[in-house]
This record gives sequence, structure tokens and C-alpha cells, in this order.
Amino acid sequence: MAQQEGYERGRETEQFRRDTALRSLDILSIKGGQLSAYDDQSLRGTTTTLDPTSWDYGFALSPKEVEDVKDFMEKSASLSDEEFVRHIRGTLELERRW
Amino acid sequence: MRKRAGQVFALLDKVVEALPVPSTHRELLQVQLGVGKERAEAWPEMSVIQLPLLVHTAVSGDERPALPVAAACTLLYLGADLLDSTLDHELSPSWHTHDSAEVNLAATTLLAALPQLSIAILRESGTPPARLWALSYLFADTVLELNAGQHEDLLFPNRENVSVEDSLAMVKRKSGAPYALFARVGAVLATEDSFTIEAYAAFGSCFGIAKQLINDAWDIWGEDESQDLLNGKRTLPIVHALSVLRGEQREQLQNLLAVARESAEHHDELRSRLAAAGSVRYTALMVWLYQQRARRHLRAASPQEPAGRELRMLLDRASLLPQPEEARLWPDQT
Repeated sequence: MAQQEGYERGRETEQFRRDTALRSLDILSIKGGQLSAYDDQSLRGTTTTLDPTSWDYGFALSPKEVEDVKDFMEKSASLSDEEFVRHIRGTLELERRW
Repeated sequence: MRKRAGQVFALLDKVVEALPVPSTHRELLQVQLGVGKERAEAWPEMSVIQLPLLVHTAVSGDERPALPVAAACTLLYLGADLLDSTLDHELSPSWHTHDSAEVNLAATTLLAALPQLSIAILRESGTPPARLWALSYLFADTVLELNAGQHEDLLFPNRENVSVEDSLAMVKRKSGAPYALFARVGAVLATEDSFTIEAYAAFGSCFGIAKQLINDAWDIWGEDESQDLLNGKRTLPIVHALSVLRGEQREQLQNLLAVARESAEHHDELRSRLAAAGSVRYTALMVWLYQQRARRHLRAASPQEPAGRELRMLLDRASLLPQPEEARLWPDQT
């Protein structure tokens, strides 16, 4: 079954073309569009450079990961920063451990 | 999960008891074993124990043959934790009566000698020498990468500009590499299929990065006094804020980071500035992305059940995103 899904190590990023990833980032940076609810400067750190190093570490988002980001935005759109902080303080002391 | 933790520490007790060393050195190692047992008691979900055993079970249907590799992973963790705690000035109270030279000796033995001795136990069950060598090599390779990551972590506070990419690369070495090992060794012992082994290793790496970012967020926002801020660490939330702020705002943040090393008096103000720069939300997004990646790698590995379900449960908890029911409760609490 694993083979049927076409798994290859790192296929989520490494094997996508950089121009595809750049287009994905362009989509993310659209203002006033679908993602405007999350124009909270949080993604600015991802758009400054796109060198081969960043390619390995998740800044060149695959189309699938763009969907993941949208999913995150939808789930977090109604949450304030304070709610994130309360979650961190309230539930993650043990989860942070190895 | 508690039963697995008990089995691993029972084996570790035997390994340490059988060591041909003076009782003084054995007792030194047992101090850190005690620290590990206390943590496993409070948190039996420890990835270092669960991942090797669950991955082996997910591939072969049986966890027992993987006990020696889970013990070896735990030894590596105990050694790395001792080094990390020394660097971060966060040693467990159990070590307060020992001087730093003894702490370093214990960490060296735990990291460099004992994992191999634990792997050697697999000879008793007929594991071929080639596979023993492969496992041993993986531990050496991981310690190398882990220590390189730790070194970067140590140097970043003195570097002028640390990028988000630098920070995540360091996290990948420091925490992604050991987590990849925990998952990989369980798979290597169960199969020779490189496709499956690489899928589990990639799952482990992404899981480990997500966990480290959670740890970094907790250190800043989880307690009134942040040890990372006192140590001048450049963890992802801080690096992100420095990368997005400009001009006077950036300068103010840098000044606050400098005074935050002296005392916790300004930690609240610093936390507010980080949140205002979008750093808590950005870190949550990065955790989310690595969690989703780990999920896809795990799905690709096609784990047998119920081990697959347990692995997914561990991964589900690696998130900075509040659950909906949790969010609903908050307005009533404030």
C-alpha cells in the first residue's frame, strides 16, 4: 500500500519545483483574497529569501502544504494570541518533553 | 504505555548493574537513571521509549524484540539531556551534590558507551552482525548530528543575525535527528525494506522538530521566568520576531533581549512584543506544518494496527493549536 501511495523520502518538498513553490508563496501573500483573515505578518518570515537551504526546511511549501496552511488559518482564525498562550501554559508542560 | 516504560527501565537497571566498572561510576550513572525513571513515571508517553517499540510493532506486530534498542535510545536521551541541562543551567536537583566533571563523565558514558552495550544484547536473540553494526552506526551518526545542533544552539546567542532558516536547521539537527533515530531503529530491526525504514525515519524527524518547537514556545510563554530568555537563546519565536521587525521596533526588541538575560523582570514585556510580532502564531503554524508532514510520512509507512493508532495519538498531541472545546472553555475562565 505504501508503494501505491508513491511515497518517496521528502517528496513533500524536495521534489517539487521551486517555481511551483514560489507560486504557492505568492498565493499565500495575496491580500484581500481568501487568506486575508490571516494577514497577521506571521508569514513574512517565510517570504524574504528562498535559497536552497530554506528549500530543505519547509519554506518552499508544496501545494499540499499550502492546503495545510489554509487549514491552519481556518482553524485558528477566531483564536486570539492570548488563547494560544493560555493553551501553551495550560496543557503543554509535559507534551514538550522527549 | 506505562508498562513499556517499566520494561525499558528494568532492562536498563540490568545493563548498568552488569557493567564492569567500580561501584562509584555505576552509582553516578544510576543518578541519571533515577531522573529518567521519575520522568517516565510522570510521563510514560516519552517518545524515546514509545517510538522504537511502537514502530517495531507497527512493522512486525511484536514489540518485545525491540526492547534493547528502546533501552539504547533511552540511554542516548539520558546522556543528551544531561549535557543539555548542563549547558542551559537546568540540572535536576539529583545532580546538585555532584561537581560538573562528574556530570560530564556520566553524560559521556551514557552517550558514547552504553547504547552500544544495550544493542549488543540483541546478539542473544540471533540478530545478525551486519544489522548490529548498522544499528550501532546509526547511533554514532545521530550523536554527531545532535551535538553539532547543540553546538549551533550554543553559538547562536553570540551571532549578529540568525535567520529563521538557520534556526530550523539547528532544530532539525538537535531534535529531528534523535527522533528520526528513535523511529528508524525500530524499523531497521523489523525489516530490510528501505522504503518503510525511510518513511518511519522521516516521520520521526518531523515529529521531533514539532516537539522541539513546542518546547521552545513553552519555555517562553509557559512559565513566568523563561530559562531560554535568561540564557540568551535564539529559539524560533525570537528569531522570527527579529526577522519581521524593522527599525526602532527591532532595536527595542534587541535591547529587551539583552536585559532579559539579567533577570526575569522584563520577560512579560518581551513576551508581549513577541506575540505582537506574530511569533506565537507563526511558531504554531510551523508546528502544524511539521505535524502534518509527520502524519503523511506515517500514513505512507502503512503501520499495522493498533500500533499505528498509538503513533497517531502521540503525534496528535504535538500541536500548539488549541482544541475547539478548550477554546470554548476559556471565556468562562477569564
